[in-house]
Amino acid sequence: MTEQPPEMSKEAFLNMAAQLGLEGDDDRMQTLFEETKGSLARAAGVFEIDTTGYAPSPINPQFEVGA
Amino acid sequence: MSDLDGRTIAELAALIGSKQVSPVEVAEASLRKVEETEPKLHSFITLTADQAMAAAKQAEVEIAAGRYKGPLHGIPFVSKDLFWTKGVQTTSGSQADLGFLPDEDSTVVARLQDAGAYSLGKTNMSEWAFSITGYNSYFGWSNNPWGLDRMPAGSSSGTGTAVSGGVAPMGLGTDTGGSIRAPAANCGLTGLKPTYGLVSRYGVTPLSWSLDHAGPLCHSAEDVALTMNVLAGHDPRDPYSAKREPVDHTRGLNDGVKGLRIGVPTDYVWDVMDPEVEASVREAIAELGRLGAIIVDVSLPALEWASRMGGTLTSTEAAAYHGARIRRDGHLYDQRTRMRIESGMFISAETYHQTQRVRAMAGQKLAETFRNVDLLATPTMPMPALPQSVGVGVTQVGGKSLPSSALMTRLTQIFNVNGHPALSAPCGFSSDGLPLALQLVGRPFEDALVLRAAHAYQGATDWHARRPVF
Repeated sequence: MTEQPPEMSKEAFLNMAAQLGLEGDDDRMQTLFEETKGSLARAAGVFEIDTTGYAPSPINPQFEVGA
Repeated sequence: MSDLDGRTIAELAALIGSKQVSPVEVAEASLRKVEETEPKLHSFITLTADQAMAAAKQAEVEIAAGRYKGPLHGIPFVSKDLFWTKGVQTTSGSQADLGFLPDEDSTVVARLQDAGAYSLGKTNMSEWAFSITGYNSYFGWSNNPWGLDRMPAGSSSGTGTAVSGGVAPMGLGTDTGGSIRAPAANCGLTGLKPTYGLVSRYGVTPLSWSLDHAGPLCHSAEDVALTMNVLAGHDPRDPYSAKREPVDHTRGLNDGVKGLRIGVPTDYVWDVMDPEVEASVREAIAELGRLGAIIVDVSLPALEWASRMGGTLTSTEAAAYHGARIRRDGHLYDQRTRMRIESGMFISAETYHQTQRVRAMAGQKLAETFRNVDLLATPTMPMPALPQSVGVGVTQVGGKSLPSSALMTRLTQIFNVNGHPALSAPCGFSSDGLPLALQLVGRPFEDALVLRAAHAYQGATDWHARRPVF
């Protein structure tokens, strides 16, 4: 299993939001911060799964696709 | 009310092909049904009645001249409003795309038209296809014909309500986490999320490139098979389109399920489950057993991983697609949808790639399971259609409390992540008259086998033949 990334602070969020070009009043940015924290927490669940021996696969490797 | 209302493609094709009914009569009946039902159902964003009548007249001339193209000739359909339609507004359910007039048809719409089918109009949907409830804050709810205050489910909400409401025998939807199967389940229809790569997404506004699938919602597996014969096929304009020989999805449809091994997951699936859904799905599985299938228990922990992967894959890919647009026009997006997309911008490459590793592992686990079974059977959703008033809030099912969207994608999303064909078919009704649904899942590119099993089940039951009174 891989270690989970640390939880994002409000300060780090606002810095990153500015870099990403995301703007809004305080209420909007607070709501977006809460939404983002929730998304990151759910996403972090994948670090609890032991994926030793597996490489990232954007599609099912058994598929034959491509133009 | 016309005696053509609620007919299947197979029934209408038999009437049209034998010239007992003309395509114009079918179109007139459909448009009367739209007029009758639309005030209650709100299925459509754009109605194209004039174009539909013109196409029906053309079909009538062609058939009278002996140029019958096949079972879809003269058949009306509806399409979710993210399938590009030349010169016809395509909003993708967003205020931001009001007035967008594509300069070409999506591949699947063009294929249907080439087969002689014609569109009645563009149906309501969750904005950018990014919600399973079907709610759209700009266009409002489409209402479920089986309970007007119930969720139709989405994101192909208007397609579900229009077909269920009897205005057309077939509609196009897309499915990124369950958006064909959930409306099919809630609206009492048969809907197929085909194998990834089998049906072109060219000219379909993307939500998540690696999860999006296009497919049909119909009244029966037979109709889905007839439609898949037109929709499926390689399209060089979709980079993920599979290069495979065309398959006749109706061939073998009547071969039954005798000897097929159908796996029923023992874990996860039943942990959060409405008792009426469980009873009806277990009875449906028992019926498949009585028809000769071999029912076997399977353990499939990968099912649980979908909830950890789906959100990351969808929001990051949606962020990649919408990024520039959302910075400019974000005020025109539903603000909840906007934030769900924006939150994807904060997910690290490390997390995204770890998710893709889990995806690879889940794909292998599923492949191992399918070495021992031909199909999987589960409920499509853990509960009947929720009240619209629940929205995206938390609700209780089987004694457990979960957000509605997590409940509704709980059993469907894994098959988007790994691309397997998955079909939802009606298998009963709740005590308050809402449809319940069985999900059948197959190996990649064995969509025809999924349809064969569903057709066998529908030959022994009549749940799919019932129509709502509203």
